[in-house]
Amino acid sequence: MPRYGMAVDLDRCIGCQACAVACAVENQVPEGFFRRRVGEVTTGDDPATLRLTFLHLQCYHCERPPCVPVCPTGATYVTRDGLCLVNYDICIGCRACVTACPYGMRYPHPRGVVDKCSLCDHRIAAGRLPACVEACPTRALVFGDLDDPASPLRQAIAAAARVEVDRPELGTRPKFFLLNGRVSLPEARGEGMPAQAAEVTGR
Amino acid sequence: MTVVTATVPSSGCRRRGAAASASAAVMAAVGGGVAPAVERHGDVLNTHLDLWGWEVAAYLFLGGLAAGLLIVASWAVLAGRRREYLPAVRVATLLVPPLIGAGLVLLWLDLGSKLTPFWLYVTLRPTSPMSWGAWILLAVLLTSSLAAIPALLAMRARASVPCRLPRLHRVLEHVGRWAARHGRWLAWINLWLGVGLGLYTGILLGTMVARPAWNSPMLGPLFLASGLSGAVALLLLLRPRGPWAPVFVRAEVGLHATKLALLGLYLTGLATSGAAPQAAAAALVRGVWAPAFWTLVVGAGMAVPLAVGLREVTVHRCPRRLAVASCTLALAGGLALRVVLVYAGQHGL
Repeated sequence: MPRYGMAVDLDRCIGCQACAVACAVENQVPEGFFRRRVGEVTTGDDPATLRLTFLHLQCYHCERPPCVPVCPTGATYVTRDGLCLVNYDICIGCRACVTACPYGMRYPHPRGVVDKCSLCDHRIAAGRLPACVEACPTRALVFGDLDDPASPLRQAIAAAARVEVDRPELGTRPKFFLLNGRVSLPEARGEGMPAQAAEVTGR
Repeated sequence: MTVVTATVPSSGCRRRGAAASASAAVMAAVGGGVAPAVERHGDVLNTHLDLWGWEVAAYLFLGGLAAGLLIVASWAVLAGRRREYLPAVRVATLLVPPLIGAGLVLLWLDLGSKLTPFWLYVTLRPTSPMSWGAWILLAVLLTSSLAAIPALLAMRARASVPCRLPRLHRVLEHVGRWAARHGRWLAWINLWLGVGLGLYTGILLGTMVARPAWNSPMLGPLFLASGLSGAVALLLLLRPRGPWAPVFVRAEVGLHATKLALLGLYLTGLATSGAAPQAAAAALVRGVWAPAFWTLVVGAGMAVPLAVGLREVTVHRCPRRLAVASCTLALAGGLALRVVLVYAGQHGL
């Protein structure tokens, strides 16, 4: 069985949001909600250290997803392909999974269920790429099988100078990889910022 | 020194402003009083922070109260004090089913999908505290109703109202006789279900690893103690005179002290963990939640009733007004504990 995952090459990402738009259109995401978005983060306060980086906000399809065990009806589940999906028929909208996701990647759909990125499982089943990957004009987004050394995903990870996942200390083992990031994720999140700095920058 | 600013196009959050300001206050609490113009990644990510609102907080309170009443009533039966404490036991037994019913209605109101909650009862998921809770609630509703039927019939007999539904009455009498015959068994079951329900209301929050303010093993015992204390306070309010009163007052003193100790352990646990739990503890103790936490949760809910109770135990005379105020404060503090923790856990990530 394949073990699907995704990566973003941050050297290539230009923050154009084409992926977010393609995702919203493909999955008919209601207005004001997102399954995938790109956040812009500026770090540094002088020309030498100033950097712009992008946060890719979508479900990481963790290998040990905290959202799955808390679901009281079994609506959130992991497929044999390693996709973390929601069975909308038996989701009762209790939002235990939204509360449990340490990354905040799920949202309550106005229809009364919880929704999230499915890695476009319907497209994968038809042998196509997820909509965001297909729409990416710089080929920053890479999709593939983590168990297949010849897959574009494995090759991109192997070629990257730096590979990161979000909050590895939680042991969730995300299958979404950040490649060649210039700013570490904790830094981009503003974590570990000294209190003094926070005070000085208060505007 | 690093400045971090983050923007996301057109956020879809309904309560984003409130969340961002709460987080800024958390940062201020941690960073020494100045709210920095820094948006953290957490705020950007958690676009929908209106997850669990007042319905869940109120449900946790009512569930804890019902659990406490069930434990007190069952204990009185098992300790052989049912006859002696009858007025208090009867009130406690009669209150549990409506409280559980109201809790279930609140849970249902909180669900996104109002037509499909039956899925909770066609699945049993051992890893999901919510699944455990759903089943425990159903079981408690059943067994507490069984235990309440004899009390209900006794009340009806005294009221001497003409019976409009003789057939239902006969069925109830039949079930009531059975329940009275198996009173001790029912009390044992209710005692443990009550403990389970009381613990579960805290464990539901305590198992959420992603929420630092919730992720503590102390929440289960704390909510159980708080539910018990609320139940005893409610019984002292409704049935203040009788042989049970001195026992309940002493129990209340012990429960308030236990709650304070558990709350201290909870905060110590957070403060000795990583950066995120430390920030959560700081937000409660000296941040955005501090006024509500110190005045309502600690002051009104624990310290003041503890002081009044101690006075009552030692001086042996307590003006009725003071006792009523103390019990009301204890109940309000129990509700405040749930409200503050439910909201604090979802902000400032």
